[in-house]
Formats: sequence, C-alpha cells, structure tokens
Amino acid sequence: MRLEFRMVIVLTLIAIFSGFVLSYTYISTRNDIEKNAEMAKKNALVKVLPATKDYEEKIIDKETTLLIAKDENGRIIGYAAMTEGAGFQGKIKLMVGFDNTLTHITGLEILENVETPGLGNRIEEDWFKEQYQNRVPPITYVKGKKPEKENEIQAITGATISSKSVVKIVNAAHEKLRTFLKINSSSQPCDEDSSKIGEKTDKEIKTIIEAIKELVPETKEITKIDDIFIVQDSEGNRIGYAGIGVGEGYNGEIKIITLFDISLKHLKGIKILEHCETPGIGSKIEDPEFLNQFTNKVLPLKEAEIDVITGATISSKSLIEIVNKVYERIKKELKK
Amino acid sequence: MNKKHSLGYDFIKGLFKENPVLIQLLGLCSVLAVSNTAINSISMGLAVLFVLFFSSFVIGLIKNIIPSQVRIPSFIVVIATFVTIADLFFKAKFPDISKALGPYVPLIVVNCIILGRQEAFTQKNPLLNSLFDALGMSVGYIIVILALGIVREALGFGTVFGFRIFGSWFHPLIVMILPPGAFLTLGVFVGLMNWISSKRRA
Repeated sequence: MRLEFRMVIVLTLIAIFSGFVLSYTYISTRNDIEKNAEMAKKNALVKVLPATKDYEEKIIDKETTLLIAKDENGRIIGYAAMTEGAGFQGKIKLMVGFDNTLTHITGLEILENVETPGLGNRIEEDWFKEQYQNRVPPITYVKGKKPEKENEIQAITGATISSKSVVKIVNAAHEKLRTFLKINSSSQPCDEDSSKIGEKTDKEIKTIIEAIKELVPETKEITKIDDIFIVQDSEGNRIGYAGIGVGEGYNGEIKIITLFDISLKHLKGIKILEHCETPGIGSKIEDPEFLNQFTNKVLPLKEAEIDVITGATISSKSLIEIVNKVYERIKKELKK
Repeated sequence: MNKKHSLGYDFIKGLFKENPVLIQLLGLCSVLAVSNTAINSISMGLAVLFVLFFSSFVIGLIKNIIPSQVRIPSFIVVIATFVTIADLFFKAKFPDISKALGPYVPLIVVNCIILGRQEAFTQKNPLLNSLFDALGMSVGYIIVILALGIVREALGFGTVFGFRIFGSWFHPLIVMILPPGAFLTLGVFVGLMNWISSKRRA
C-alpha cells in the first residue's frame, strides 16, 4: 500500500474509533451530568432561599434565569437569579437569592467557575458567600478591612478581580430581576386570584362561612345579600353582619373577613383570607395574638387602639384601614 | 529497540531516576498550576495516571500499524480521547472534583509527559513494559505533585487536605499559593533531588 494511503487510512480509523468511544461515553454520562446540574440548581436554590419547597422558572435572557421560590402553600417567598458573567479567567456562574421585595440578598451560591484554584476559586468558600446574606444591593466591596455598611462585602486577598466580578454579577442580576418583575408586576406580586368581590367561587364561600363560624360559634345560618353576609342564630335572630374587605398591604393585596355585631357598634373579629406579606415579618398579621386585639373594639377603629407589629407597621395599619372601609360600606348599604 | 529492562525497573525508574517532573522537568504547567492544595494535586495525579496508562495501552497495541509520519497526530487523538473520557467521568460522578480542577483536566491533552512517554518509550518497547513504565511515571508524577500540594497548602493556607495543622499563631504565606510559590517550591525540590543524586554518584 502506498504510504499516503496508509497515513490517511490509519488516521481516519483512529479518529472514527475515537469518535465512537467518545459518543458512547458522552451518551452514558449525559444523564448523570444533567442530573448533577439539576441537583446543583435545586441545592443552590434551597441554600439561597432555605424555605423553598417548590419553584418556577422564567428565562429573562440568554444568561439569566429567574427562579420564583415558593413555600409549601405556594406563596412566593423570594426570587433567585441563576446568572453568569465574566470572572478573572472565564465565566462565573452563580445563583443569588433575594427576599420577595428584592430589597435584601438572602444568599449566594457559586455554581461554576474556572478561576485560579486556591485563589480566585476561593469565591466558593463559605465565609465569602455568607457575607452577602442580608446585604442590601447594589453591593460594593472593601479591601483589607472589615465591611461596615449594609451594602459592603470584603474582597478576597489575592483575588480582588474575582471578588469584584461576583459583586458585579450580583448587582447586574438584581437590576435584571427588578426590571423584569416590574414589567410583569400586574401578574407577579400576589397570587393570581385577584377575583373581585361578589364573584367568589364555592370554595371561597366555604372558607368564609368557616371563618364566620369560628368568630361567632353560635352561627346557624348565613344569608348573603349583595356584599353583606347576614349571620343568624338557631332561632333565626340576626346576630351580626360580615363583609369581605380588600386593601393594599406592603407587598400586595390583603383580603380579610370582618364581623360586626348587630348594632354595628362593635367589631366581633376579623380573619385573614389572603395576603402575600413578607414571610416572618408582614405575615405576622396572621398571628392569633395580633388578630385577637380586634375583638370587641368600638367602630370605627382607631389606630391607637391596636398595637402594630414591630417591623410590620404598614401591614398592620392596612388591616385597620380595611376594617373601617368595610364598616362604612356595610353601614351605608344597611341604611338603604 | 532499546535494551530490555525488567518490568520492575521500568516501574521504579519513573519514581526517582527518571522522575518526569524532577528529573525530566516535563508536564510542569499542570504541576505548577494545580499544586496549591493537596486534594487538587491528588485528583490531577489520578487523572494523569488514568490517561497515561490507557493511552500507553492503546498505543502499545496499535503502534505497529501507525506510519511514523503520522504518529504524533495519532497519539494525540488517542490521548485526547482518554482525556475527554476522564473529564466526562469526573463531571458525571465527581462533580465537586471536576469543579475544583476546572480546565486542567482537559489540558492533560497537551501534557508533555503523556506524549513524551509514547514517543520515548511505548513506541519502542513491548506492551507490558510500556504499561509498567506508564504506571511508574504516573506514580512519580503523583508523588511530586502531591508533595508540592501538601507543602504549598500547609504554608499558604495552614491546612493539609483541608484540615488545619497549625494553630492560630500561624500567618498564611499567601505567596505560596500564588504562582511564585509554585516555582520556589519546585525549585527547592529539584535542587534537593539533584543534591541527592550527586551524593549517590559520589
């Protein structure tokens, strides 16, 4: 055989064989690699937003994916961005979590990086990532001293550029989420059920009836006239009126049911039907201790009569406002 | 063909007499780059062992049908195949190690220890000798890169395999994990090795 042919044939054979071996290896490792990536994503999400039980993905652009983190009741507890940007030696891929108002960072995870081992890739170390918790974006970095302000983190010695890159990526992600969520704000902040008063589903009416019965145990019958629920006892006597009220909370709509006595002088109690206030802060309006304050208060409610929740003044005051609104409405309608 | 040695000799020579890193000064790029921690060093060493052993095996099998004019591209394709297998394997089964080593696993393709052994040894020797040579060279590589990794991690971070070995009084010498630290440590190692072999000869 001529040498040229032999060279071509041998090289071709080796390349074909190599191609087969690599295709086989690729196919047999692909599932694992994808699973690892998926696992890494889930683990990272739980790390940056620990209460996450479920999540929804939305692609913002080529680099950035928005993950909407939800708790077991499907309430949005925060947002995370899976995003990437240039580091010192190549791309840094990371996930950063924000609370559901996008004001604080809840956590940071580095997913992929090709920074110098032992230097730049120390951005993966816990002390560096934990610095971001509870910081208020946009972040800046300091060198060689302890961070003091609520938007500062300390850069890694010997890896300033890598640290700076992470800060930049985090800030860009925050900006992207803010614009993205604002654009879609009509559908985003609260759950989809912004159903108007008066067109309630059976399920909702059931929860309302249950709520009324909880507030007034002697309830026997509930009649609905327009927007007013008339509560009657077993002898058919009217014992109170109830109404649904909706108002703006801190994050979005708050929907409550309020129960008044028959003379419309006292509030019998209130119950939260829906809200999307910040978990652990505004969501404290659900605490029975707080709600019990409303029992037997004279109408209309005065702000001074209710102790607002520390850290959740807006959510608390919103409730008072809603109660008074429902009171005015029912008073007007009953006069008719 | 070279004069034949025993299998034992072909293995042992890679550790000291012909150590790929300290004597032949080959493959220094990866040695200098990833030897800043012990765990990186050992993972890298094992990847090199895998690639060198199987490349020598395959090339030892097919060396007689490869025309010498295309032997280098042929070797490179075989080596690249095993490097890619190692890379995919790490990614699938040990994602953490894969993450730590970053680009240095794919870069084994251009590690001259691998190609050098094919050129200098596998080509001219029986298959079995080549396998022992490959093992010896890999173990020699692992010993040196691991020693470098331990010294640099100890001095640069105060830890070995992530465990703290010095008390709080220890102030890490950042330079040891920077590139200069790699050159300094390797220089000391090479010097020591030369000193030992000159003593022996004397």
